[in-house]
Amino acid sequence: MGKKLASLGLLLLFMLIPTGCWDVKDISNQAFITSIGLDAVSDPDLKGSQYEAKYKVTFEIINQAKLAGPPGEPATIIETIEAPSIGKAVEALQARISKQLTLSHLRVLLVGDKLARGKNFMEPASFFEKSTEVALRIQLMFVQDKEARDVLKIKPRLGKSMSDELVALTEIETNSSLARENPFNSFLLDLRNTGGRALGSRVIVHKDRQILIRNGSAIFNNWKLAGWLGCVETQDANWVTQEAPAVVQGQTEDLFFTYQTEKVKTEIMPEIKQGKPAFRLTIKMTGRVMEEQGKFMDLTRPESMEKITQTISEVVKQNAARAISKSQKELGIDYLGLGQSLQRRYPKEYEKMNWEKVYPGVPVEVNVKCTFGRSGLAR
Amino acid sequence: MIKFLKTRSLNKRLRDPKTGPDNLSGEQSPCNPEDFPKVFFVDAAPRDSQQVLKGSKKRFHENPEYNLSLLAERIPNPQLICEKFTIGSLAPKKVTAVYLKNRTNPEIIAEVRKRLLAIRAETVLDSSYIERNIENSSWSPFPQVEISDKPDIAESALLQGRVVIITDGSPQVLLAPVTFFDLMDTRDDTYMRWFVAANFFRLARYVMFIFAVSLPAFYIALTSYNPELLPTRLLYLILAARENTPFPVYFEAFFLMGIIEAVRMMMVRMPSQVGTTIALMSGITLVIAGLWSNILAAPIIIVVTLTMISSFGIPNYDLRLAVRILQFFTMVMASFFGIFGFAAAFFYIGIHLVTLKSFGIPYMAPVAPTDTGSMGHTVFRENTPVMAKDNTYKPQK
Amino acid sequence: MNAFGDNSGDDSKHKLDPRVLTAGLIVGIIEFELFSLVDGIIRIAKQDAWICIILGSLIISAAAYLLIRLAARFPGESPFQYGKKIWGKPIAFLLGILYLLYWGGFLALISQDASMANRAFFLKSTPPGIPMLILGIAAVWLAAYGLTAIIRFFQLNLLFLILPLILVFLMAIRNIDLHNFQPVLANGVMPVIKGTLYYLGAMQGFEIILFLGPFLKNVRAAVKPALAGIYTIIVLSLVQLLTVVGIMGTENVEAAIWPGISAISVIQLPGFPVERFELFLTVPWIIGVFTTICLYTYFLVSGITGILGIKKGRGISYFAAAIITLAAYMFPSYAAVLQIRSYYNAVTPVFLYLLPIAALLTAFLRKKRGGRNG
Repeated sequence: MGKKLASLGLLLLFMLIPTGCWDVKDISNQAFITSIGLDAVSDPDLKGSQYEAKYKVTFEIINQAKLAGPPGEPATIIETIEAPSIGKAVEALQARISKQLTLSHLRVLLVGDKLARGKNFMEPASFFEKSTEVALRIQLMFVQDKEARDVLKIKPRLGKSMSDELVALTEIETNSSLARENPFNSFLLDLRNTGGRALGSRVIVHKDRQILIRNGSAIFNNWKLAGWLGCVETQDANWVTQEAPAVVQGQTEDLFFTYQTEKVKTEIMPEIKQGKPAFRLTIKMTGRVMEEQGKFMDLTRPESMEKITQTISEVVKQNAARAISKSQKELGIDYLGLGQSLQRRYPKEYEKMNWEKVYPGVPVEVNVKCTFGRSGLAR
Repeated sequence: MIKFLKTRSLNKRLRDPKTGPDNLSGEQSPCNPEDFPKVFFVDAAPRDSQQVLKGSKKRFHENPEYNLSLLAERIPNPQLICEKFTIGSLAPKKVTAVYLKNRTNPEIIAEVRKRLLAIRAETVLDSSYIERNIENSSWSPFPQVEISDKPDIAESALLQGRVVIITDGSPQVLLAPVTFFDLMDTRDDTYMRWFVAANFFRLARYVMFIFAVSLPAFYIALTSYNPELLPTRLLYLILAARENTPFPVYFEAFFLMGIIEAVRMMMVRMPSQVGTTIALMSGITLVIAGLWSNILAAPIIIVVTLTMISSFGIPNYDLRLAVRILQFFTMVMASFFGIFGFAAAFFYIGIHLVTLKSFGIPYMAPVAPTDTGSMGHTVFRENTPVMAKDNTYKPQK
Repeated sequence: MNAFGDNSGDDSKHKLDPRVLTAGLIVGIIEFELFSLVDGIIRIAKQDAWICIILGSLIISAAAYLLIRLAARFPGESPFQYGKKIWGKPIAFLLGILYLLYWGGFLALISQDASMANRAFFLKSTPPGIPMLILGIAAVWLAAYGLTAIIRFFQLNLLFLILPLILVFLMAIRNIDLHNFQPVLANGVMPVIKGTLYYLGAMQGFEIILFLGPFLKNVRAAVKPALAGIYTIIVLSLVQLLTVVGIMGTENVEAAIWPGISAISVIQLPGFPVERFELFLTVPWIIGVFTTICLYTYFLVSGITGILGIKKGRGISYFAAAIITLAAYMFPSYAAVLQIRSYYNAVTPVFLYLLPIAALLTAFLRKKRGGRNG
């Protein structure tokens, strides 16, 4: 019996010794790419040939030596490579970095304005979806007016790298209604479900200072970037698309106040009346009064509560209506996802109609139900 | 305090006419407390192999007659049978198997008897010589016989339906058969007042067992093969700590595990007053110097120390020894095949555990084969006013 | 006497409690398929896949009942023994060969599947044969101890298999969007029926009911444990479906090769100490694949000895190990594997449900039953 075991052990030993460890990659010998910025190439070399550069790819790589350094110093290396594809760019990058590159800790994907407008987004996205290294929880952001490269070059203030800051910005849970939250995977799902329409996250660089602002949103139509929504417009749109808490301003005769909404719930009810679609939007919310300016009211009294909630409901109703009219009349793109809810409810009717044509004329009724909640610690 | 026991005169040995000598057995007789001599206090005082928090401080002694008397005193019942064997051709030693006739599975008794009678040796130096002769597999890293020097543990084993084997000249008795969960069981849990705390500590002990076997291997697999499974912030910290270290992670791990073993071995051989100080000194010096000079990284020191602490959570000495060696097995597999090798190592250990038997009792009982009714005794601690039921060693119907 | 000086023969003396069937079924059936099976049904039935699973559960529990009746009719006999009684020797032999081919093929398929996933996630440049050889040796080693040892191994792994799955689900729950399940029955009933058939075909490992028959104390009492096992699997696959579709949406699932792993890699729980949940999934994945490989190795080895009448020996074990190892090289590409896999799912109901039920019917009509206390 001992012989059998011994032979098994020997077999294992023989198996292991000549083979060695093929895959052992020590953690210190790897270069972790944490974010990738994609930009269009303005003046490509070798124009017209198969080697024509189509992407300007900017990599943010963790610099191990600086990780333990003083705080406030970025611990990253930024490299930019122009190449015909992302794969080629990674290959070329390896020639510049003395450690094995890996995408296993890629966290942020930034796409520049020009590239997003000019290219079907599924083309660059396919690289990230196919890779076995990339975890699909990467954050996707579009850079307005500037290049993705410019964002990555900004010096981070709180983190060790720009990707840290960008990810941390998406992880803040309150007061996020100024920005649209749409990570890589759900953005792709939106695109696939609607045939190329979606609302993505936006990043901008501050006009005067080298700092980054994440707010607003990017409108996609026909798989390409079609326009931008500023932070106010995004907040409007968020009443429809994303149940994020917001700070709302209200004005009665002689009182100006701000109201922090909590627990926002938006219900989209599509209906078909005589073959024509219509929507009823119900926004339910509660919240608290943050501050007052002008003639103060005793907020514990029922009539002032009534006044506040009525004012807020009216304001929110106007905001939502503004978002819808912007989407329907001005742009004519259904980035608010009304079509998706119609498709879920009435799949057959949706198939029959040409949604893009129908959409601008669809009536949408907005109802807001606001309950008072609290007045904070002071009356 | 232990009450001083008077030495009583040796009575004439009584023999129960009902239990005549069995066909193949040794000499069978009921155990009668009056039969046996008592031992002086000095011999019976506890040694500090383990700390005793609650329960009897009495322990077994080299004198087999006294050991038998201890058991007979605890279980004054005619069903308590001692079966005597003489083993050793040159220097024969008395070996006694004690069991409760109405409790113990006859198959187990027969198996113990068969294996004891099959021993061909010149002499028996210690009970461990009996152990290695009667266990199912001497190749297995896991002990298949429990060793104990506490009479109350032996009593509980007898009530479970196990056989106690007392060897002449050895203060440790053998309890057979044994399961993994019996080895993970401690007296303190059983004597603990509140069952929730007892269960918590028992659960913690299983977690510590898994940690002790797997932690360094897991660390090697994650850092050398699959860093994508590390949280990003942790990755940054490990990267920062390993900035200038010259050796790969697996080398560091093997190196430090070796040092820990060396320190432990040094401590065992040294007189206790000096040993602890020197071990502490040398350990701390090595670690600080290693960290300072960047030869070692901090994360591996945390991992290895945690492993060592966890391994001391395992109550049984032989099992702890097994785990120490298994650590190296899982580390080798993880160094060669990463997470996959780590899992494969666990399959090999798991297969061995489920196919291993101790005197016909599956080693992983009552988890595999599952018998939820018996788990209250070993795997968990049931909330019961009496000793929890244990069917593990009962004859299978 | 085997490698560790233990007498494995004495296992057969002690009959097992029928409750072991629960663990046997759960651990035996779950494999890597738990994650990719969802993908197949979604491809067919889209967002209605959950209906397929519920419909399938009814059929599977009925089949389990009938299979237990069959095993109970011939107590203490292995399927090969009573197969001969029911069908007569020539037909039984022919069917036996078919089963052997089926088992061998399936063993090769899951081994290849395991090897493929292993190459994608763990060991990229290691020659694929070596990890498979390691698994193969372990599987043959365990299979040599017989079904009771395999069952013990399953029981030992049960918690490690199920707990991570539940943990992953609990963490995924926040990211699930039920909108992804609308509209219900948008494409009619046909895709649902097709999906149900597909689901039935994914239950490889179901034969364990027949094989465990002779080892059980009381086969008739095995209905409840068997159903418990089956419903656990069904709940797990529902949970899996809920997670995958709820997080990814049907369109993205169709685009993914391993939607289970993709879905988990989407989840984000800021602040939770372990942010990368793939870690939790690798545990049940590896255990699931390995236990299924063990089970099929046992089926194959005992099938060869039972059908061809070859004495149990090393040769057969080496043969099984060789299949597992060579499977890594056998198929030209993963696309081919997926193709063959879908054929296998189509053929599986015949072997799992139709043939045994036909055997029960025939036994009933020809009034065949087992010798002892039937």
